[in-house]
Amino acid sequence: MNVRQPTDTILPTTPTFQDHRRAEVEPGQHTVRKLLSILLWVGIALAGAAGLGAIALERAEPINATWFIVAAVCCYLVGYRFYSAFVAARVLALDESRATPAERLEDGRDFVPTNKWVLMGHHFAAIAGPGPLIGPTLAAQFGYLPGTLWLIVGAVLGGCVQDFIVLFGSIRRNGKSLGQMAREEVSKLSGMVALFAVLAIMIILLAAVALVVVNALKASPWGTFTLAMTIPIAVLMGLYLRFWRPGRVLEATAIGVALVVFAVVAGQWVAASPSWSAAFTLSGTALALAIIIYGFAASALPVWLLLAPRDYLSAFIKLGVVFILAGGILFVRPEVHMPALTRFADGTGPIFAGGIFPFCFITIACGAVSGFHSLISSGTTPKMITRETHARMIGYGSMLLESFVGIMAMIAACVLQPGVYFAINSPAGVVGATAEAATATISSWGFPVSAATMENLARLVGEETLLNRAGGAPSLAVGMAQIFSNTLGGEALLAVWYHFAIMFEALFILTVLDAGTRVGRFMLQDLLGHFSKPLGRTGWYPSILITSALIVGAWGHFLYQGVKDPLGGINSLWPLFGIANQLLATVALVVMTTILIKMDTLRYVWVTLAPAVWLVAVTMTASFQKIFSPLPRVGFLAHARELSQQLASGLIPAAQVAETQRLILNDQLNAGVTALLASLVLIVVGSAAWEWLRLLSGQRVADLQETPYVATQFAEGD
Amino acid sequence: MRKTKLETRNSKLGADWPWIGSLPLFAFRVSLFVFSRVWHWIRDVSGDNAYELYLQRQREEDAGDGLLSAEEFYRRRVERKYSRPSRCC
Repeated sequence: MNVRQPTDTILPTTPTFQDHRRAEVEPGQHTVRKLLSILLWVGIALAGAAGLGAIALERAEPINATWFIVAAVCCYLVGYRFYSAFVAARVLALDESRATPAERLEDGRDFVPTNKWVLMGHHFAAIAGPGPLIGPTLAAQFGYLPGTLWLIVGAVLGGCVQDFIVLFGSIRRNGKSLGQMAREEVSKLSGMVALFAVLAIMIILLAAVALVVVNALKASPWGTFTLAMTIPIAVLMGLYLRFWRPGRVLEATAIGVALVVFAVVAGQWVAASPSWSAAFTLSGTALALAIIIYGFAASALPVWLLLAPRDYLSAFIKLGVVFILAGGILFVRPEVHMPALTRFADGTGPIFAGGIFPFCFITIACGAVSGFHSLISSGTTPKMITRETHARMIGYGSMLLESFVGIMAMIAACVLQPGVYFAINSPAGVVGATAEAATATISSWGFPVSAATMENLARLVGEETLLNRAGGAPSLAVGMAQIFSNTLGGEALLAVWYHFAIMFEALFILTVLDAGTRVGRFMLQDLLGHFSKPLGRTGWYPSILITSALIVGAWGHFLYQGVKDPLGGINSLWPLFGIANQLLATVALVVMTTILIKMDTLRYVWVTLAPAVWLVAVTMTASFQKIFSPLPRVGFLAHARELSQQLASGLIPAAQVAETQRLILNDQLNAGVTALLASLVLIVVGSAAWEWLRLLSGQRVADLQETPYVATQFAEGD
Repeated sequence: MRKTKLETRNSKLGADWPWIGSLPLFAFRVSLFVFSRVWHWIRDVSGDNAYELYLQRQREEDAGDGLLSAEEFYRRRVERKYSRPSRCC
C-alpha cells in the first residue's frame, strides 16, 4: 500500500511551508488580510456569475463581447484558486519535498530541472494547436451559448484536471508515457490498445486539419502564395540556424517573421497580376495533393531544414496573434450578433449535422477537453519539472489559457452577422452552389444576408468569393480581421489582416501536420520493429521512406475523400476527429482513475471518474449516431444506403456513377473507423472497470507503480 | 533671487514628498527589470540560450572533453525534440 504524505502545501487553511513567516504577522493583521482575501474572491465569483448571467439570459439585444471575457476569466480564476488547489492538496497530495525525475535523473538532455515559468511556456507552446480556434468557430452554428458554456465548464472540471493529473502520474513514474502507464497500472491489453488508438487518432486528426487548410486556400491566390512562401522562408531560417548562426533561434525567428509579414503584404500584388494569380489559384484537389507531398517531404527531410524553423515561426506568430486578439477584443469591445441559441440545436445544422448533445461537445473538443494533451503531459514536461507542486500551474493553468483561446475564437466567429457566418461556412451541397441560391437559402432560415453583401465582403478582404468555405478558418479570419482593423488600419487594411489571419491558421496547421506525420512515422517504425528489425531503425532511409509514405497515405486518403465530399467533408471528418480526440481523453481519465483508486483516494475518485463517465456518454452516443443514425447527413451507413438507392433507381447520371460508388465506399470506411475507435476504447474502459472491481473487492493488491520517495536536495523556495 | 511660482511649488512638493524626485529613475529601473525578465523568459522558452546553458553546465561538471560544437548541439537538440509528440491539435 502506498504511504501518503499529506503535506497540503496549497490550501491556505492548512499549515503551509510559509507558516513561520505568517506567524510573525500580528494576529490582527492576519485577520484583516484574510478578510480582504475573502472579499476579493467573493468579488471575483460575483463578477463571474454576472458575466455568465449576462451571456446566458440576455435575449433581446446584441450583447457585448466583454461579458464573455469577464465570465470566462472569473470562472478560470475561481477554478484555479479553489478546484485545482483542492485537487493538488487533497486528491493528489502533491509533495513539495519529494524529488522529481528532473532532479533525480538529471542528464542535461531529457531530464533537466526547469524554471516553472519557462516550463509553462514550453508546455503551453506544445499543447496550443489549431483545434481551439476551429472547434468553437464550427460549434457557433448552435449559437454562442452552448459552446461558450462547454468551453468554460469542460476546461475547469475536465480538460485541466486531465492534463494536471496525467502530468502528476507521469512525474511519479519517471516521466512514463500514457501507454506505459496504462500497461503497468491497468493491464497489458489496455496498454497495447492505447498505443494503437493514439496512432489511429493522429491520422484522423491530421486529415481533418489538412482539410481546413484546403478549404481556406482553394481559389485564393493571395492566401496560397503567402503560405507557399513560408516554405522557402522556413528553409532559409533552417540554414541560418544550422550553418550561419547555430542555435540563434530568436534572430532567425525575427528574420522569418519579417519575411512572412512581407509575404502577406506581397500577396495582394500576386493576386492583382493575372499571370501570377493564375499560377497560385489552385483547386481543392490540387491543394490536397500539394499538402500531401509537403507532409511527406517534411517527415523524410532532416528536421533542422524545414520542421524546426517552421515550428519556431508558428509558435511565435500564434503567441503574438493570441495577445493581439485579446487586446483587440478588449479595445474594440465588439457586439456579438449571433443569437444565444439558433434553430440548428435540433440537429439540422448546415456545417455539420447532429444535435447539441453530443455534437457540440465533440466539435469543440480541444478547447475544453483534449485527449491529445495527455501525450504532452506524459512526454517532455514531467521530465523537466523541478517540483511536484509546479504541476498545478503548468498542467491546470496552461489548459485554462488554451480554453481562453477557444473563447476568443468563439467571440471572433460570433461578431459576424449570422447570415454572413452561415454563408461562409455552409457547403454548396446544402445551401446551393450559386451566390443567389446560397444567400436565399440562408435568409429563409431567418439569417438575412444578400449576395451583394457577400460579394462586397469578399472584395474588401481581397478574395474572389467567401461562399462555401466550410472549415471555420475563413469565417474566423473575417471575424479577426474585423476586430484587428477596427483597432488598427480601418477598412483599408481589412484585406491584409484577413490574409494575415488565414496565413497564421494555415501555418499553424501545417506545423501540426508535419510534426504529427513525423511522430506518427516514429510510432509506426516502433510498431513495425517488432516484426522486422531494419524497419524499426529510425535512421535507415528505406524505412523512413516506407513508413512516411504509409502515414501520409493514410491521412492523405481521408483528406482526399473530404475534399471530394459534396457535403463539405467537414461534416464527416471533424466529428470523426472530435470523437477520436475525446476517446483518447477517456482513456487518459480512466487510467488516472485506476491510479487514484490504487492511491487509496476512493472518496475523491469522482474528480476523474465524473469527466470520464461524461466523455464515455458523449463519445459513445456520437459514435453510435455517426454509424447508425437513419438521417443520411448524420449516419454514415444511412448516407451510403441513400446513395445506393439513388444508384439502383438510376437517378445518378452515368458520368457520376464511379464517383458515387467511391462515396459509398468512403461512408462504409468512415463507419468502420468509428466503430473500431469506439470498440478500442470500450476495451480499455471495460478492462479498467474489471481492475477496479478486483481492486475494490481486494482480489488484487493495489500495486502502485510509483517510484519510491526521495527527499529533494533543492533549497526551499527554489 | 526670487523663486518663480513653479519653483516654490516644486520645493514644497520636495519637502512634503522627498522621494518624488527619484520617481522617474525608479520607474525606469522597474521597467528595465520587467523587460529583462521577459527577455530572459523568451530566450529560455525558445531555446535561444540552450547552448550557453549547456556550456555552463559542462564547465560546472568539469566535463571539458567531448564538448559538442554549437552546430552539432543544435542539430541533436531539434532532432530529439521532434521525435516525440511536440505539438497538439
